[in-house]
Amino acid sequence: MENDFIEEPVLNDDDDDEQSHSHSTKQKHDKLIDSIVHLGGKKRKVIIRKEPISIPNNLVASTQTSSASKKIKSHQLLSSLKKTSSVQIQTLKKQLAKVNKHQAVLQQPLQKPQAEKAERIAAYNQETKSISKWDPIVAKNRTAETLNFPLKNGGVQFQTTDEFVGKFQTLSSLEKDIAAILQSSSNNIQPNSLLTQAEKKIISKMDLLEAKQKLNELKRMRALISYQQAKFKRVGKIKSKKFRRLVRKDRQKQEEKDLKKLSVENPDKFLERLEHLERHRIEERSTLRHKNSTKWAKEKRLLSKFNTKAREEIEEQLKLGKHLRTKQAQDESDDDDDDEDEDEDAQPASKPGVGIQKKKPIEIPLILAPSQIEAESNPWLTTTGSAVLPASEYSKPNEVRNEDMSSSDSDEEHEKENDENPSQNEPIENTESYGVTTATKPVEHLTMPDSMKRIEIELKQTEQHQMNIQEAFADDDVLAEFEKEKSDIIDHDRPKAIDLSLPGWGEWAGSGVPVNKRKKRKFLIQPKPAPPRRDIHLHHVIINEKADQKISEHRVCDLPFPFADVEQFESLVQQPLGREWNPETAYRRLNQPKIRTRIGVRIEPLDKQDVFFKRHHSKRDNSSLDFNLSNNDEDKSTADVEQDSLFDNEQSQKKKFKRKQKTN
Amino acid sequence: MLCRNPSDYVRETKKDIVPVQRNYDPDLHPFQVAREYTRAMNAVKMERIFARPFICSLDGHRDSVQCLTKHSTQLSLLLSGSCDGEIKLWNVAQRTCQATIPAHDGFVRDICVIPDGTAFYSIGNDKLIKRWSMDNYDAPAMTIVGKHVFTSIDHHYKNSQYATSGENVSLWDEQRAQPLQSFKWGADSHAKVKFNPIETTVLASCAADRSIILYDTRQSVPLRKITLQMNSSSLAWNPLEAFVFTTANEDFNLYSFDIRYLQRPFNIHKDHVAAVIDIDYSPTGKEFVSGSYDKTVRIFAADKGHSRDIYHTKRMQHISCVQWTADNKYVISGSDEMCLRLWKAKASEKLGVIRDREAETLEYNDALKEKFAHFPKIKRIARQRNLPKHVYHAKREHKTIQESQKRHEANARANSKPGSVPFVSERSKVILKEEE
Repeated sequence: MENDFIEEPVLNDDDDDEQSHSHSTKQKHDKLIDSIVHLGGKKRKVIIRKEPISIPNNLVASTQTSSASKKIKSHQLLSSLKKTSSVQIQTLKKQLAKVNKHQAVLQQPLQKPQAEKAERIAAYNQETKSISKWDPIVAKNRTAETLNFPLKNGGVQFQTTDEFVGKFQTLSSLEKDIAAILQSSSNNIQPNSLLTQAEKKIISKMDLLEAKQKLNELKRMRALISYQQAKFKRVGKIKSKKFRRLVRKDRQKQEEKDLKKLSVENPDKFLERLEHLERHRIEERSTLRHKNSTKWAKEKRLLSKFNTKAREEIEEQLKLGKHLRTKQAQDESDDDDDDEDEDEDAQPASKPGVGIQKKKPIEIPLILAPSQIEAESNPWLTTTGSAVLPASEYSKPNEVRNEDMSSSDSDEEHEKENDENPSQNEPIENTESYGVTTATKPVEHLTMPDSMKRIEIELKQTEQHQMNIQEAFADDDVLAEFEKEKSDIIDHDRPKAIDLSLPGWGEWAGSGVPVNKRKKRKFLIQPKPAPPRRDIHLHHVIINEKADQKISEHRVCDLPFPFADVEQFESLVQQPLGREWNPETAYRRLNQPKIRTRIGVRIEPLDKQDVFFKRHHSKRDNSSLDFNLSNNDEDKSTADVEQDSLFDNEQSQKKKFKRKQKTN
Repeated sequence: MLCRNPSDYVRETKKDIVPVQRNYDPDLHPFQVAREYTRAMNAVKMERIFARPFICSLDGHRDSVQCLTKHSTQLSLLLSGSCDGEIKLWNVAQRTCQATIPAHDGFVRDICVIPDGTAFYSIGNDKLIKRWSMDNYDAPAMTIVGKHVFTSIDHHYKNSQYATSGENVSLWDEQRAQPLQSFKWGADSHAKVKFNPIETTVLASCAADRSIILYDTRQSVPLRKITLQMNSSSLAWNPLEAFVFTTANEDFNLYSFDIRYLQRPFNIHKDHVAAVIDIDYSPTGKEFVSGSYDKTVRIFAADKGHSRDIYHTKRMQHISCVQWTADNKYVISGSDEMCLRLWKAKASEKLGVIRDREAETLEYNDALKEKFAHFPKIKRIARQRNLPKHVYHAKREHKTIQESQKRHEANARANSKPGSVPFVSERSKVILKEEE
């Protein structure tokens, strides 16, 4: 077999004639050299093994035969027919020339593996593209707090009122009777007519002129209503923010005007209104700030379903808001005041509303003042910010002083205001003074209304206080005590040598004999030196190093994976889940499992039809509904027209129709 | 001032529900975290105490179990085929064998049930595809003689098409005796073919040349082929995420792929200590179960790298097939010693009726366990499992092997020109090549 193959030429190409010739001469030459080389030595034949190429390379052959030089053109074929000249051949030649002229050569088709590869790539790309539509659904399912399986629960079906009403059926005979009577009434409005039977009867009984008048009136009213409706609809659909702003401003202007009118006509009501406005504003202030109601926050909130980063940002903002509110409660109130001033400044002085606005700060406090005082005197009514204040009084006397000054300012204001109604004046001031200054010297405060003097007094007080403390603890040597305690603790904590020697054991004599030195050394186990204490260089502190040994076993030492920082993790741990610390609804929400399944119910894989086409379907349903509605409108308008035609001539009819079209 | 009206809190009748007044101010509950920690500790201990996953074994096969399929409409019905050519139908709820069918000569390779559940197909080493009606087990409703031995069969989730694997992957119609289409791309044998349950036209096969090939029934050519380091024995599609499938590989790992990014698996699931033979996703798509040649069944969270539980018994031999039941409650494994075993999917779950209050407590306990999962004591208790000796030792052995490999690599890196031994991520090491 092999020999056959070896003898076969590797390639049977016509072009290689010369090459093969040269090849043969070369072989001869090699043989000659070989024979010369081996003349002297042993004759040794080296067999070179040649592997056949079992599959003739068709591709190579085909490409070589189809090279441009080997191609046979059509006119070459015809050249053999030269001798036999006839009309037929001439025409044939002409036709051929025509064909050659308009010849567009198709590209050579791709070879099979390449073609298949291209097809595969195209198919794969198409597949990945189509399968990517599942991305939002997968993301939603992955981040969902709970998934209730089976996911397909029949869907929610909405009923229109007609369908709902259609379900009612008369049951008892009495109901049937009532229904029959109601049905037979001539005052029922039939679906395709504007007037009830009774009305029609009345109109038909009137004389023509009166009926026309009546009908005209009715029509006018109807038209007006429809115009108004159309207008509202159009305006309601406008999405432009600018327009909305303008509308809002218009409304505000109108309200201001109303307010002004009210101030002249009904001062009591006006005051009430002002108070209401003020309260409303305060409420809005307290609710809107840092409450994720901004545009940015809204966007983030939308994202937060799928994006943990956005969620964190929102949380951070909330945290910030909380932080600001608790710490700077006083500043915030100041800011608020500033804001109010700015608001007032922003409005031009010539406007009629300004007078009212400027009256406000004078009048409003009259209403609010008692409540403020109440809040200061009654600890239960204070907000968190003011509750913090007494604690800070000790640490930051400066702040307290500021507080006093501001309150004294407000005192002055109060005094000014209270000049008008002196009956309220005295009790207010008394309560204030008791609330702010120390109870020992109310008289002084009353006699010296200047705030600077009060500060001096307070300074004196603190100095005296310190003196008293020093006197009281004059005999105690606290430092020495502390040092002794510390050295005791250090001694106690130092690792001790363990003495395992037993007195009398292995000795000849009885009790009272001292223990052998050698033995002592042998049985005394020296401990390893303890690591240096952490408070070795801190003379004023004792750090207990053994305190958290037990609890440290229970603590997390590394930050677990999904958390970005320690605060986040701690906030999770601090959030209680139990009933004792959460209201029922929160308890349920916090403890709901990730997956809910029902016993004995199969969970089918997601259904493409269900997920995608249902949505599409519902959309189409809605659109069809809209279409129906619009149809109804059209029906109505045509019905109107029909009714009109009872009395009106055609021209007016057309005009009205046109007008309606315009409004629509 | 505090004042209480007794009528607010004194019950008039025995069944009266009284509102309990509470103050949720955190300052009033300084020991809140400590109390919850104790509860979490108790909960996690209870979980381990009640973790008894094994329910029963279904015995009756006279040779090792080769394949296992759950019925497509009935929850309690299960079909299993063994190496002696018998198919058994089991009623899992009653733990009885409903029917025994001598179906094939030699192995029953695979079984699949048609979507409406009225019939099923079986294939065997005798090159036959048999269709059986659920009403009559005496004789097959239809028999097709194939040209080669089939290794697996899977039915389309909606249509009347089914696919077989063997020398090639063929697509059949229920009404025809000839395949509609045959896909072949390099490999001379395919171990498994599976339809995608969501994008129902897509299917994937594990080929014997270590590759996984994707197909679409609407195309005339396969879509893509990836070659892994070692052979994959099975694969499963996620029933909730259309583009995710997981393969059980012979290098002891499972690999999760996104079919749009096949350059590397998006997750490697490690823990088995021998070739993984079979895998099945839970119907919720959040977890999957895998059976291995190391005689254990493991349950993985789909997005985690390590298993959350391991099931084993002394008598259970090499696992050949696993299934997760359609109600997400149980796991069934079939193994070489002729038994099917029924396990709870959640080892400590209480079976039977659970009252509302008990359910609430269980949910609360679960939430606590999750909240305190990172605390060392609780983590230790929750993770502790007693492994069979051979698994324990094999695990340690693999650990040393891996460490030594890492050390070798680090040494090579330290002693060669900087940059000449690049760092390659574990995930990208898995894929040898992706062919278009």
